[in-house]
Amino acid sequence: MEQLKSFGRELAMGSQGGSSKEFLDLVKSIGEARSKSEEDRIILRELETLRRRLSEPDIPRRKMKEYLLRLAYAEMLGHDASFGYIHAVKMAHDDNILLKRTGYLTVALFLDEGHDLIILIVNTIQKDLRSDNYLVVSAALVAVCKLISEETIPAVLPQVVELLGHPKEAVRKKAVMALHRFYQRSPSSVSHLVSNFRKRLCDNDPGVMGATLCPLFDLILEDANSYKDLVVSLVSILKQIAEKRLPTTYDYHHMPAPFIQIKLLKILALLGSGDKQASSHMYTVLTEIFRKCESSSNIGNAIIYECVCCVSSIYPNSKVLDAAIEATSKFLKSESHNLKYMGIDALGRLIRINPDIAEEHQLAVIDCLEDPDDTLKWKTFELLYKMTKSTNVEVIVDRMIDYMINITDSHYKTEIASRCVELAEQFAPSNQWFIQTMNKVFEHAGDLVNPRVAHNLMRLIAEGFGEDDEGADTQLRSSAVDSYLRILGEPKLPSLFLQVICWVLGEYGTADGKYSASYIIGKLCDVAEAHSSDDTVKAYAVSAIMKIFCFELAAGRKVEMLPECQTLIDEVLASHSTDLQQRAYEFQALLGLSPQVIENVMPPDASCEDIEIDKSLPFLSNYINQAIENGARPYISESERSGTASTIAVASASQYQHDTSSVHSLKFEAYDLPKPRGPVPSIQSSSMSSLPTISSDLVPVSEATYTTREEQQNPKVQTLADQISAEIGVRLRLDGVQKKWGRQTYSSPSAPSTSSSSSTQKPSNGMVTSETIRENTLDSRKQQIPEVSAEKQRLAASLFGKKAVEKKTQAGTRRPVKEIQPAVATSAPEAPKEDKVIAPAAPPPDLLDLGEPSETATQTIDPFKQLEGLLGPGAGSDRASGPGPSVSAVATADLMSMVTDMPPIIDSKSSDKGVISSTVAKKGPNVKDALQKDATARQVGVTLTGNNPNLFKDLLG
Amino acid sequence: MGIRFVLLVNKQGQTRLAQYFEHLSIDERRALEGEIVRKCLARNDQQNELAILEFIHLLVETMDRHFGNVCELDIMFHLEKVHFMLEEMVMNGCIVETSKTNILSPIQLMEKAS
Repeated sequence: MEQLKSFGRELAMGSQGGSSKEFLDLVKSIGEARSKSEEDRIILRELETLRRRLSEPDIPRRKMKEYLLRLAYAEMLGHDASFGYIHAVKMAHDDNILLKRTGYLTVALFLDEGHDLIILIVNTIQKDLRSDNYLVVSAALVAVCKLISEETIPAVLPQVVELLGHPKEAVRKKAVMALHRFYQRSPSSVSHLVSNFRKRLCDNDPGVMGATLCPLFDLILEDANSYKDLVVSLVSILKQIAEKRLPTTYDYHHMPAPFIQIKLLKILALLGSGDKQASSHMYTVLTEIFRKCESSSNIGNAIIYECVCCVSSIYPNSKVLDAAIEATSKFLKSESHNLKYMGIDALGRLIRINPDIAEEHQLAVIDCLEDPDDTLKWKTFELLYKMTKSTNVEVIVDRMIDYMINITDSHYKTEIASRCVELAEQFAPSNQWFIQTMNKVFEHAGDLVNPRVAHNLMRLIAEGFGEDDEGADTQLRSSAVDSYLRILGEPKLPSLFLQVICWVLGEYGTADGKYSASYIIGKLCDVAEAHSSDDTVKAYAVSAIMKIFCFELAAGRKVEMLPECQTLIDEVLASHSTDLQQRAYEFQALLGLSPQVIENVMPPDASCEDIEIDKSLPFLSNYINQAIENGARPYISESERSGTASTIAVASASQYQHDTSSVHSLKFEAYDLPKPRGPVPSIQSSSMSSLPTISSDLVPVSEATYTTREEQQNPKVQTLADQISAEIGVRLRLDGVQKKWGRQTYSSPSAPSTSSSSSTQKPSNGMVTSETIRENTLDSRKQQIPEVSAEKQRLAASLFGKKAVEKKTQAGTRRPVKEIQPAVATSAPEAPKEDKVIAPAAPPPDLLDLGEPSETATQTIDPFKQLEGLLGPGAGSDRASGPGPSVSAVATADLMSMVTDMPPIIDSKSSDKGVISSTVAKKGPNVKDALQKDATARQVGVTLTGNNPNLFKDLLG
Repeated sequence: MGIRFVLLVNKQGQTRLAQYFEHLSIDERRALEGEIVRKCLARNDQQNELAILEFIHLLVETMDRHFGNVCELDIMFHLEKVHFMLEEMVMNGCIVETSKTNILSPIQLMEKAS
């Protein structure tokens, strides 16, 4: 029956519109298409037909109109119909108004203002603007709005301005909008015409007046102060509309001109914002609208909502504010989702004026939170997000996480995860809570959060609470370890979270003696095995295992090499990732060292130690000077070296001093051939010239895990290290393994140790007990779900009310964490957020300090410090007395002798053993010679550019 | 700009009318129309959503008055007329005309003239 009816309609319409059978068939087949691919087939066939038809000569104009509409269909359904654009442009020339307007319409549908064909239409528009037929003028003005670009504005501007005084209101209205369009395109093009908008506001025709509000809104948005004089007129217009003085044709669902009212309210909100005097004119009319508006219709509620927005924007007045609050509570109490939604939004606006308002509506808000409508729920979370403070952050973030766990849309999940992180970082009542919250966020949305969050978490665990309570810190860490060991049982953990877990287990897994080393190692092996395709996680796991081995060995305990661990190491030794390989080799090498060395290399819980840097490396000066005296060439910085190598090779050092102009010149001579190695001084020069070959020998380093560091790596130093290694490493290079990671040592600090070295650590707060408390409260909440109202009451209290404060203080007394003052949020209406940000979020100040959380520190490690640490206090004069020799490979002997030969220039520093960083230490057994290379390299580098610019002058005259 | 585009889509999600107030390429339009649910939910802050809902209703009422109990096929067969109505109601992304008489009179006049 239904089909018959529609078929009858089709026939009727077909005959009416004079459409061809082809068009009828097209529409019918599109309408009946069951799938997108079917629709695509229909359109492609149609486009073929149209291409043929359009190439025929002498197409009747009516027919052409139909073709254009069929092209419009094709474009609308996503297919290119550009071959027909020109016909649309032509049709705009037609004398018949219907055809002309169809031409303009299709041009606007097909082309944008920048298209080449637009220039053809401008002339037509100019002509039509002068037409006697107001329908033609109207059509041209509509086209002006859509097709005139910034460049073509001057071509039509005078005519448009003239049309502002046209006798037909429809034309005046469109001329106003054309000017508005020009303003949108290029404000300067019409800046001298702005007064016209004020004039048109007083137009006799309400349609023109209503249209004029659009450009005025834009102007006032830019500069409200210039339009304050309009407040009185706008208020009077609004009053007249509300009193139904307008023609009834503007009524919509018995509301007088509601869309104009809404626009007026938007403008008044702008004009009254922060202006007591302007606002005072509005109170009466706003109260009146609140009173008169029918809340039975949607449009009435739309006006009421706009009034609330206006009230929340202008200078507050208690009477109007009360009316707005009442209206909002009506919204919230409504059965309709739409109105509840508006209510939540309105509430979000009103609490900016007075946060207490939320308290009255707490139960309604909680209802919305439990509503099955996702949009409403989302909006409510937005409201809660706005009203979060330290007193309710726990409840709100818990709710958000519950919600996050249950949604699948990754867009919203990311959004809400980042909000949880933001709120937790801002308002966290305790670090322990922060860690718990982060664990949950990671567990459920770990792949969606910013890696920075993971670094913050690691840092927080390493730093503790910034107080001197070492015991509390230890507790915190053990409870973190406990929770991670538990979480590891879960399937499918996100990579980022696993990295955090591995790092924490490596650093603190065995710290409290609760778990045996082999237990933790076993767990870490499981992680690596379960995520064998994730190199980053594997790298973290291997480094963590290495740390635990080191801690145990340093403490003089024996550690058994578990078979699965051996398997893992064997596998990683042959890994395609050079980073993983390097870790494994470092691990192997470390195992062979004596406990004292290991302790220096890998001191327990030292991830937060500060590292001091001495960039000038002055204690190598003597060595350098000696080398230069022996005829070695001074260091040339990389920028100078590139492209000018041969020039410099030829030029003597003293020449170079003067001849800076040659530095950037092109190189015309061939490179020198590498010379055979001779005695020490000549070795240096030969190694310089053979540098390219040497560096190409080096195995490229995978930078997967420490990409953040690479930018800070000094390439100059690396290249020089190569040179030096070439120089001293005749024997070094014989060993393939060492070659691989001998260079690597430079960038070797692994990602875990990167973050470990990042932070400065100070202890406080505990965790074990508080965690169990937390669990209890969570459990109890779950149990109480049946008794809804009581539960809701409590939730409401914790979200909004003072009860929350009491409850929190109780919790606080049980909790051994540093409790924030349960802030007087409710009594501080203005901007509670800001003051919370400063005060209570204090405990982990570093949480807020997000800039380059870990990399900077690591990157600034001074190889010299490392070297000094390894050599021990007496290294300069007597290397046998330090721990160094046991580490030093045979290969490094000659450099060692070079170093030992020189008097220790900055021995005060080198005796400062406490400064050794763990990162340094984690560089592996070959650290020493690598460091020596670094050291030499730096010394060479520094002498020229750094603190010692006069060195060469002194030496070489 | 308040209104960026108007799409009429049937219950099966097929586009029946599309008018844009800012330029988008065909590819962008296609992507947008595919993502439309999310775009609908990501409304901007100063938009009165209830009013927009009512505006859509007003458009339907206007079409109703013109076609008499409008249906999908009416729009499909008279695509250009619906576009004309929309052109009268929205310019530069702003609602400029809400009186049904004013919206429809130029369309009726054009029909008479041709």
